Amino acid sequence: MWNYEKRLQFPIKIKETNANLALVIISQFGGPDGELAASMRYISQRYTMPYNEVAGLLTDIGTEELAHMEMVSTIVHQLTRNLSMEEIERSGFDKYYVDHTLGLWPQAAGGTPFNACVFQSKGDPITDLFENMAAEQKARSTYDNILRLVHDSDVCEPIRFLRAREIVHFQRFGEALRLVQSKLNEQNFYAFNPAFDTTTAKNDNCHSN
Amino acid sequence: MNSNSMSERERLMNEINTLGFVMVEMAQYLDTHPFDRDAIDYFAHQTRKRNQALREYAVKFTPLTLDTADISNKEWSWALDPMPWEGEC
Repeated sequence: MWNYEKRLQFPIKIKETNANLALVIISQFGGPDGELAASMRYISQRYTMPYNEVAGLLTDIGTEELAHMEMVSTIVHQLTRNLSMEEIERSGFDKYYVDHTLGLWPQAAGGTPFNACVFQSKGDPITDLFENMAAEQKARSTYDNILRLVHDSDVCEPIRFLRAREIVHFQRFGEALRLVQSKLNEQNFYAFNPAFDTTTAKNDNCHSN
Repeated sequence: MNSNSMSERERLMNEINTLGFVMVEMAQYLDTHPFDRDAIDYFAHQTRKRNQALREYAVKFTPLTLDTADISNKEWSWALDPMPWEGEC
C-alpha cells in the first residue's frame, strides 16, 4: 500500500503566472509520456514480473513517478492560480477554463484526456522493460521540449530535476533488462515467456514447436 | 551573520529532502544489486538519520508523515498546516 509524505521531492516556488506555459507543461501530467502514465505503466506491470528484483524496481520507480506527477501538477497550479479573467481570455486558457476552471485535470497539452492507451503492460518481462526504457526516453524528450519553451528559472529548476530523473530511470530499466536476460537461455531469450509459460515442456500449440 | 541565516526549519527540511533523495536512489539501485552489502549499510544509515529528522520536524514544526503525526497537539495539524503545492511565496 502507499503512504504519503507531505513535501515535494524538489522545491517549487513560482512567482509569476503563465497560462500558456501551464497548458504546455500539463502534458507531463496527463499526456502520453507524462508522469501519471509512467506510474500506471510500472505499477501495472509489476504483478506478472516473475523476478522480485524487477518487481521491486517497478514498484519503487512507479512510486517515485507519483511524486513527479505531484510536482508537475504543482507547477501547473502555481502557473495558473490567481489568473485574472483578462489573462484567461487573452491566453487561450479559456478553452481549458470553461471545463475545469483552475482545477487540475489530467490531459495532454493538445487536449486528449489521459487514458490507458498511452501505455502498455504486456505481461512479458522483456517487452515490458523495453516499453519502459522507451517511456523514459519519451519523457526526457518531452522535458527537453518544455525547457526550450521556458524562460523562468523558477520553472526551469524543477523541470531540469525531473528530466535528470528520467535518465536515471532509463539506466535502471536497462540493468533490469540485463538481469532478466541473465536468467534466460542465452541462445534464445524468446524461447518462452517466463511470466506465462510455466514449464518449457512442449504443448501442442504452434508456439512451442 | 550569513552562515546562520538559514532557519532551523529550512535546515531540517533540507536534511529530510536530501536524505529522502538518497533513500529513493539507493532503493532503486539495490533493487537490481540486492547483494551489495556496502550499499545496504549506507541505505540503513541514511534512512535512520532521516527518520530522526522526520520525528524532530514533526515535534518542532509539523508532521510530514502520518507515522509522525502522533504529536500531542490540540489540533490536527496534518490537515490544517499548509499543503506542499502551495509553495508559500
